[in-house]
Amino acid sequence: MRYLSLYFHFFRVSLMAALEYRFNLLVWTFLNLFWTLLSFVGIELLFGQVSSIAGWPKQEIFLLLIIWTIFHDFLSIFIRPSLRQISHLIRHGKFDFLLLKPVSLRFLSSVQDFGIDSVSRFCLTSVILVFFLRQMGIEPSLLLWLDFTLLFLSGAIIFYSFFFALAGLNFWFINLFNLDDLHSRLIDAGRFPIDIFRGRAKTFFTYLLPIAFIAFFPAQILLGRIGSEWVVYGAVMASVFFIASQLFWSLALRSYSSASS
Amino acid sequence: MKKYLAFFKNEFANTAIYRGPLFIWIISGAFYAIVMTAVWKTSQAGGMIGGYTRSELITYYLAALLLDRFINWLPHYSTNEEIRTGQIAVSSLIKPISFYWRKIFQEIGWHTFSVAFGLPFVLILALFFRADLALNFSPALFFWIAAAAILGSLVVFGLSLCLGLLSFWFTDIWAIDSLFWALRMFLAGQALPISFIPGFFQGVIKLLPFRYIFSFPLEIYFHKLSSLEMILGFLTAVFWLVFFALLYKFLWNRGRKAYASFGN
Repeated sequence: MRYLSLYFHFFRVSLMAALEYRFNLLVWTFLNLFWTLLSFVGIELLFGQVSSIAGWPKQEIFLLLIIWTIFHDFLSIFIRPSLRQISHLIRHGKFDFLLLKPVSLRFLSSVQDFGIDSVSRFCLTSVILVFFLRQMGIEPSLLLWLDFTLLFLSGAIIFYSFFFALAGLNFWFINLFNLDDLHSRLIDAGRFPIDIFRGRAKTFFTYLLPIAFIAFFPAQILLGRIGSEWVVYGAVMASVFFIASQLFWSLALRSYSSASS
Repeated sequence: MKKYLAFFKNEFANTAIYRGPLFIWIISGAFYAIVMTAVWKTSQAGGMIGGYTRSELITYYLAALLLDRFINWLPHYSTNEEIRTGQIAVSSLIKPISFYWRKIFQEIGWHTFSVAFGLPFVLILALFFRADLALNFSPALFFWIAAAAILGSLVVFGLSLCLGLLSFWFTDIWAIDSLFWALRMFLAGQALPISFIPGFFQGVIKLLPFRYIFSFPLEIYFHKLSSLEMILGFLTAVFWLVFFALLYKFLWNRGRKAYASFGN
């Protein structure tokens, strides 16, 4: 309960900070929408030259892109802003302040900041998803929406855990200020169906670095191509990634030596 | 000249010490190239795709990986940092050093190490995809590509520096930075070759500076340009180089007057 209250407190602070600079928030909201527009134009241009990608026609690639955008924004709101700060905190010795607090270090490192500017696009794309599915002739049942949501959340936990473990590298290599660029590239790969990869590469991106969880599996479940057993698989993978990231983080933390005076 | 060489050496050493970020950029770029290679290999299309063969498209994204190391002269991040924190008052405003030339030599220092560090990774990736690549080299081609890449570096340098100088008026330039990257992704041919864009817009794109900071050297490499188009391309790039140099002068003179430094 204490953690929940702290979580909402941090969220409220981020919201208040964002609303303090309303013009900035508005500009970023429009920029996010502009990026989305460009992504859709990009797919349109691509399909001006090709008829399908790995057997996926344009409409299904658009579905992937919509789910990808929702996933991207979910991470941009709840996960990436805090992880982005870890490098800075360690480099400037401010990480000590987190270590001293009587709260789980992982929790505190993960809820420092929220990306409020991505909220509007997250909501808008979620609505677009419902209408787009209807246009495709797909009316998911409540159970299917539940499966979709669980797979989606599994993907979010997997990537949160992976990025959190990567943030641990900052304890060894002090100046990794651009880890967020790597996050972006990894997430970007989720725009395309995992079928673009063959053989070992496909196994790698399905099981070891499962970018298939970003949009591919959630899209597959909405298209009725995979069953609920993949939700269980998602939950197992999320648990494995969460525990592994904790072990890695604890190991990395031992190398932390404060930089403050 | 000696003082600017010191900036070159200092930046080279600084980049060499903190190799971590460079490694992350190379891995990120390589990952993108691998994904795009997989996309082109599995795309269904009859014959050419946007005027390129499949091999050329795969080579395009792999070459872009190296070009990224070479051509990404982006001083607006450090310029913003200097202006925002007040460092610029000490580092440039009260010293007999040209801010423009200091930034150029710092960029050369960082990119000299960056290219040397990135080259082995590109070669390994090229070796891995060697069966899919469209390789063609001649000394003349190498000369023109190098000339276009150097010119492109200077154009992006000018554009980026002018963006950075906007920090004199707006402390937070990250929205402009995001817009810069969005335009760059599409108008420079980074997301897709610009031949994918419909004809009329291609004409407009050729007049804008973005094409010259990424796509132009690659178009030369793949023999997509006639001699006349190459000459026009070089002339347009030179125009933008001069334009941004003049814009820099204007912004620098105005900005210094508007600037109120803080810090110690």
